[in-house]
Amino acid sequence: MSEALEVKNLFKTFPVGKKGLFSKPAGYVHAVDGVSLSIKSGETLGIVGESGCGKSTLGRVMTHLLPATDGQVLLNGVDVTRAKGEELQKLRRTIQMIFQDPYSSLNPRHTVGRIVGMPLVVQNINPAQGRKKRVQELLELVGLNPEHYNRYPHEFSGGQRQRIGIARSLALEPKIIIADEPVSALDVSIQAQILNLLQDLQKQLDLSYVFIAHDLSVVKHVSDRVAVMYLGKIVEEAGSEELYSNPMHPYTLALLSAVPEPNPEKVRQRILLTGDVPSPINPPSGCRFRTRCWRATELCATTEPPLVQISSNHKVACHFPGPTPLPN
Amino acid sequence: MSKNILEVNNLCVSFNTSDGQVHAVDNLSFNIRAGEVLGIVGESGSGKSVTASAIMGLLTSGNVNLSGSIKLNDFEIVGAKDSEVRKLRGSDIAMVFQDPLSSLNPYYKIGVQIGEAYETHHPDASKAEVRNKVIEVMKKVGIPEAETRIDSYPHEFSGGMRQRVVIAIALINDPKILIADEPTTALDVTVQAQILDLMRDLQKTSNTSIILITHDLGVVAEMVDRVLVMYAGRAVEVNDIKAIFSAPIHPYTRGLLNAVRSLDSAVREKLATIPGTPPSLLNIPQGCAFNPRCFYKQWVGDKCLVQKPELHEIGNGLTACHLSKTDIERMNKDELPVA
Repeated sequence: MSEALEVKNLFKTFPVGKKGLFSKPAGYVHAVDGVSLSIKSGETLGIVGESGCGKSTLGRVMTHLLPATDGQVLLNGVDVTRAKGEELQKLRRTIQMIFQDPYSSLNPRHTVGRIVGMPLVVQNINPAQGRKKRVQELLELVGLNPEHYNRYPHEFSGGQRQRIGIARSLALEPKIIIADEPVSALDVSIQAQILNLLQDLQKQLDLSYVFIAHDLSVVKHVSDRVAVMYLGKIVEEAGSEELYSNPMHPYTLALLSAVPEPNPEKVRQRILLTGDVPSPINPPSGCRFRTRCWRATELCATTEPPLVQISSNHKVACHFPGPTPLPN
Repeated sequence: MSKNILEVNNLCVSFNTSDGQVHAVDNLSFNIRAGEVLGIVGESGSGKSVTASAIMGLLTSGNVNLSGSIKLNDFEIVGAKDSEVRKLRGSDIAMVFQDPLSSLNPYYKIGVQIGEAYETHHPDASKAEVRNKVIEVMKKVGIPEAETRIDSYPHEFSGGMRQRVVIAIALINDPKILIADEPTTALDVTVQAQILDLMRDLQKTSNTSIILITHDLGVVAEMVDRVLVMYAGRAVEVNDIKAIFSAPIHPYTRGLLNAVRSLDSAVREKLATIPGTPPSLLNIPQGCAFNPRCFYKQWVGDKCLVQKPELHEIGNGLTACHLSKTDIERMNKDELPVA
């Protein structure tokens, strides 16, 4: 399998507290802080973390919706972060995005046909069979009635709207799709429909997915590999089987134990993390997770643990990695 | 068995809109015992939040049609005077809403907002008394450094801490019933675990009855004693928590359970789904409202399309389904068809 997308040492910071036009900002939010990843073609990479960990920013920098502060995003060997003009427009055909909220990501004044066909207009593509025919094909592909071409978004339910968003992302026949929490705004029974649809489309069209979510149980159903993020950094990355059966980083252990168990007879040992995620403006020294970690020692405060390979399929950034879930 | 603290009988709520009548709650009956945690489960538009508003006596505007009875310790809330209901609200029944940011006023210190709930029902309390009470309840819900945090504003708190503030407001008058409407949906998983833990502890120590409204069956499994499943404004199943998960007696509950994700499933395992979408409340299907999405209607026949099933007993639970007892056993034994 070849690499479809490679992210090398990517940084994204946002200035905060700027008082006047020429003044210096008071600080920076380190949203993405030195992330390296690669996605093989036809593979799904899950990115998991809590709000504020930088997972959505990472997705947006990958698609160049936000410019990177430093680092590279390589798409077939071309750096997306440095691309401009016509080159960038061409690159965008290969990488598309599905958004979280199916209500705010569709223009309420445009018909479904116009929404789904818009990427073709922007990229000035005229399919042989005509744009309308192509849009109707796309609607059928995602399980919508092609006759609904002239309807407006408000006539559809949340799940159907998310299907419209998926059809739009497929219009340019991309190779990679970044899905940012595509099901978290939907009802449970509809979530399952959309997750299954995404899996079917992947097989049919040989797509690579970057699946961003906060819920480890959703990610398990779609991902081949999972990366766990905390305060802008990847703390653990492994193949799905490996991560769920053999988690090593204490944060991953805590996230896994926090997933509610849909079985009243089963009692799971729960790791209750104290406190909240620290501010990304002024992250803790050394290991960023140490303020909430039960394994933390002085070493963790002084030295930042690098992301190291512990087996062929598993990387972890922790001084004391290990599966023992018991905090003292 | 302790006695019922709240009894809801034949509650119907509809709204007049420009598109027609929206039947949000249709002939709903249930009760809750002292110290019990009741879960109300359903998808968006199933009427669970409207039910909560009705119990709180908040459905008073002109376009609401309300009928039936809601009795809190023999006090009838439906049709009661606003001034009477106001005495109960915040003292006997309290509510925690989904979004902690929008349920707090950004302009007031949190101490003032928590204290207001106490002062309203204790008009004679002195300032010092109120402040002490606020600090006490803040400690109870696990807000650290309560003595100094009492003078902070909502924006100085994180999402989880804000939800603790909202819970403190609800608990300051030791309510008999706490209604929690999706209390953890807006929170991160690790924070959700903290808040659920807190609610469980508080429930045990104070013996408050809780109505937990949620769409997340995982949360239900961890928290509640009994479950009321709603679909299109009607109760479709009322059952004990263990029965809901081991042997549900309504196809919709069965479908919801199959769609639940668990960490126990295999990597990239496909989920069973319920086909179709929940109906519009302007245009509820004839007969059983669930019939267009129900796989098992073929076992019953046309009855599902014409006759509304009434809630009746099967085993220890109640179900509103035309399936016979043997059919339901068969439903729970068979593999579900993957749509």
